[in-house]
Amino acid sequence: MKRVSFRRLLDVLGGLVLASLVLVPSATGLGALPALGTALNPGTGVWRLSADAGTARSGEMALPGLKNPATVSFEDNGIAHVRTGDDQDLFRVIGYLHARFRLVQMDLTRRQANGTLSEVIGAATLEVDRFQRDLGLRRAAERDWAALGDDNPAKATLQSYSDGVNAALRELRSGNRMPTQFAVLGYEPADWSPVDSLAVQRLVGQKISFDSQAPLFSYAEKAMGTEAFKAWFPDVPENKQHPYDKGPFKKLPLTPLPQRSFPDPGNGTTKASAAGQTKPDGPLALGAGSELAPLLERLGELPNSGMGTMGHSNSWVVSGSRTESGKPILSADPHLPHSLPSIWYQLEGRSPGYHFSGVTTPGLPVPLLGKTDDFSWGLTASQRPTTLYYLEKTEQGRPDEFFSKGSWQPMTLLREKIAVRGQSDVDHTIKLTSHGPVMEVEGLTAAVWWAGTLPNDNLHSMLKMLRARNIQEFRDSLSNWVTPALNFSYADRHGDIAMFNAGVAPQVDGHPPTLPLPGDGTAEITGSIPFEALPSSVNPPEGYIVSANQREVTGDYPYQYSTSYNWVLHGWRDGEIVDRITSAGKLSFAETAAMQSDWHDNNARQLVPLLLEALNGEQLSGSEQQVVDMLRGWDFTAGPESLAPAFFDSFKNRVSWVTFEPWWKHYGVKQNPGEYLLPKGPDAGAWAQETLRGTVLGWIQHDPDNKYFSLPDGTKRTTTQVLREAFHQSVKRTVEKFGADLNGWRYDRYQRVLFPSLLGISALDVGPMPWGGNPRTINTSVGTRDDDAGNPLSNLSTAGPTWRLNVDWGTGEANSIFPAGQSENPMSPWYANGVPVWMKGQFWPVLEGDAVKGTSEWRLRP
Amino acid sequence: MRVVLIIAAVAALDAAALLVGWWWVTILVAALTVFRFAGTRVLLAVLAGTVVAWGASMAAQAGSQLGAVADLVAAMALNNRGLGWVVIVVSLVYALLLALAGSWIGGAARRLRRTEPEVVAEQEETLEAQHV
Repeated sequence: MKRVSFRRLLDVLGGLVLASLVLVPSATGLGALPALGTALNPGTGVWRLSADAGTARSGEMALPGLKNPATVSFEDNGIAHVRTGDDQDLFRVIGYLHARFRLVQMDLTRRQANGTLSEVIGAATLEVDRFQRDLGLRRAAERDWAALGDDNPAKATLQSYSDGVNAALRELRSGNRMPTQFAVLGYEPADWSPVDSLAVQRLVGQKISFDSQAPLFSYAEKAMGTEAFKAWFPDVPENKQHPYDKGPFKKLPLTPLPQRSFPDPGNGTTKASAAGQTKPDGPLALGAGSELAPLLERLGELPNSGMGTMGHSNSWVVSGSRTESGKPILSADPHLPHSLPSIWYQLEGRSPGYHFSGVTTPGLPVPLLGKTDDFSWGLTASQRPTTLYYLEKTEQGRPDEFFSKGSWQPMTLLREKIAVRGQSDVDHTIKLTSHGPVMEVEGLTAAVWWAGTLPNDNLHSMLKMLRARNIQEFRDSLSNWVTPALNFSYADRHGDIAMFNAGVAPQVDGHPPTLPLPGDGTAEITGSIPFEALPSSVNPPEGYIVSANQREVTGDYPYQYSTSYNWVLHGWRDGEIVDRITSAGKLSFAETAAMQSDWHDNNARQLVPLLLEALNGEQLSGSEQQVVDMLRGWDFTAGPESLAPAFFDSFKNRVSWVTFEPWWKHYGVKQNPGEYLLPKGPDAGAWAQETLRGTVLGWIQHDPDNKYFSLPDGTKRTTTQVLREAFHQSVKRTVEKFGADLNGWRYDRYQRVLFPSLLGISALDVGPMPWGGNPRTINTSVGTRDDDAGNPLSNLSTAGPTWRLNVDWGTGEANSIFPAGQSENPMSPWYANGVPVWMKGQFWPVLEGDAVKGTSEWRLRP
Repeated sequence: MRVVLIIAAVAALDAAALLVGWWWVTILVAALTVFRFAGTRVLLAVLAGTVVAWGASMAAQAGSQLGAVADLVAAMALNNRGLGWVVIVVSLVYALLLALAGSWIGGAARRLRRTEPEVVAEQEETLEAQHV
């Protein structure tokens, strides 16, 4: 009897053990494993992917909070057209739309901004979270939200937008229709708040304005000394420049900067606020996290986008005197890292007080580029110093103090806990000096003053801008713009064109803000360039204005401004754009739009003729003669079928290498820890190379006797010798790499473009595909990826024009395209439907009003 | 006949629950079925009904894109689009594990509460079931 009972007991026990083994991972997941029941069940798990991937089915639905009925029409390409009877309804519907099509992107973006990625990803993103918490986007967003007055329209707009997002969240939750990616990741997003939007807004600014150029170039400046450093890296690049504001300049008194306040130092133990943004239950608190799934590992690579490594853009406006239509044309294409989904969500919004078409960023309620009924506008990053590094004096015995203005000051300490998936929370202490958070960047520990966390009311500026009726109102709307520093291009129906630089421009007495500054109080910021004195151009006599991240002003600008090494672009793209505009007759809309796909390399256009001249009389081998013949017939296009870029890719770097490499060895310039200040080899690119390429070209053109062409030991060299040596080396190297047959040198055999999935999953990427272009072409191709050894992957373009816009105020035509799609669902036909159109240099028309041919429509009722 | 009915009933109950995401009903249905009806054939019928319910629900949700969805999930979870079949197999094996766990609990509970005469009756019932 006893034996039988024991067996039965074992029987029950076995059943319970098996049930537990199945139930625990089913209900809560294990470590990196998501909750299997939620993830795999056919009703609400991953198998819904195709059901949710639909474009947008017509129908009527409730959107709580709406004051009046609203509609959203969808074109067959996914572009949305929102019509509401109330202004706040418009932003509510935009929030709803964003959440319905980009919820995963929104949540990950918010987490990156807030420093809470590790909570859902694990230890792989811990350093990113630390970095973001140090930088303090969330702190700044909370501060600015608290400071918004009730009468500020930005407050209502942010609230309406959040309400729309949360309405979609509730709908998705109650219908068990959360995006499948959440099932795979094993969590659900929390409600959206206005503070989240403000944090995302700052993250967008971070991606284009937070830079590490000052500590990076300090390695060169320290080794070379100021004189040599300034010769190589001058304020104004040595090669031909195209500033859109040529003066005369006004030297106006500085304006005070918005004052930022940090939490009370006496408190000292400020705990992180509700930055978690997730349901606390579920898999996050469970499991050892011993083995991360590939998805989680790839997500761990997201920090790359936290540093401004790619902030190029083009925008130009041409007045009616130069266009076929007799009215202005605006073209704009912001260059950023490609991703699927894109940073952009395109829509038309119409309400009693607003009518715009343009691109929004999921998380933000307003378009950042686009057009209204009265004007069109574009943006380019103004590459002037807004990230300042202060070297604080500290002592081992005073770990939480810094020496400033003659005495030891306490740092403000903020103690936070970072939730990490698969392990216990990690303590993190943020140290703040009067200059900013203490951070380690490029091997340098410094307090970082970054304009991106200054108090700002940019959304209010954007709302005013969207209601502007003319150039004066547009300009006025920008007068309080704080950050990031941008050039706003403008063209309107009245015939006016303009470019306005906006944003704070910190000035430091007696020290260049582009290099690390002493933190002892002798290099404090004295104010900002007043808006009235920032670069601008209105209806210039030449009939065009171009911004392509070049230095906006001439050398006599009376303020501290960008330098050749402070991330500014060196005149290649703007040079090409100016050439194209000035050499054309009357520009048509189609011609202007086609310029955005231009692949002429302006560096080659200037350097190759000098090389060919230098080779006159030189003894050449058979291969070298072939290359010379090829170069003589080259139109300087770096298109997919071109042969010459194979050679020029090497040559442009070798000219700098042959000139400068003996010298930086002589000076003992050290490589930065990330090893991208100096080229690792004669054909490698590097940050210093970007500047030196312009420097050496300018010297060859205007200063051929410059001492740096000769060798440090006194051996005399001429520019001709330098060019010849670089040529011989480059031909040898190109033949070794691609063979002696020039037909094997086609650019598209090795130049590729890749549109990576935002989740970092290569199986969800589009590409790589044969491509053309380089960082100097108008149609920019920039690589932002490293190989496994940490070396930049050459010839893999992962960044470039993320949206193209053209508006002709004479014909009324407008078109646009972005290399992605409106939906983040990889199964949606709107996931990457813009890629092939973009690659062909084609566009989608920007349709408005009755011209919209909606293939489906949502009718939203309160 | 009873086996067929069990398959149909299990499949219907499971599928209905799966429509709203109640994956745990698979365990419950298996447990109750095996608690009520004993025998190997009943167990196999429960497993078959479970597979039918999960397979049909997966196909109903994904439609003609079942393979594509599986490939996409494989891409997200395994970073390999070619392993979609693994995702399908894992899903069905997982469903079977749920049913097995439920069946075990149901069977154990049944055996725990039975008395000697019930054992005899059960044996008779099992024999009877084998002739259905």
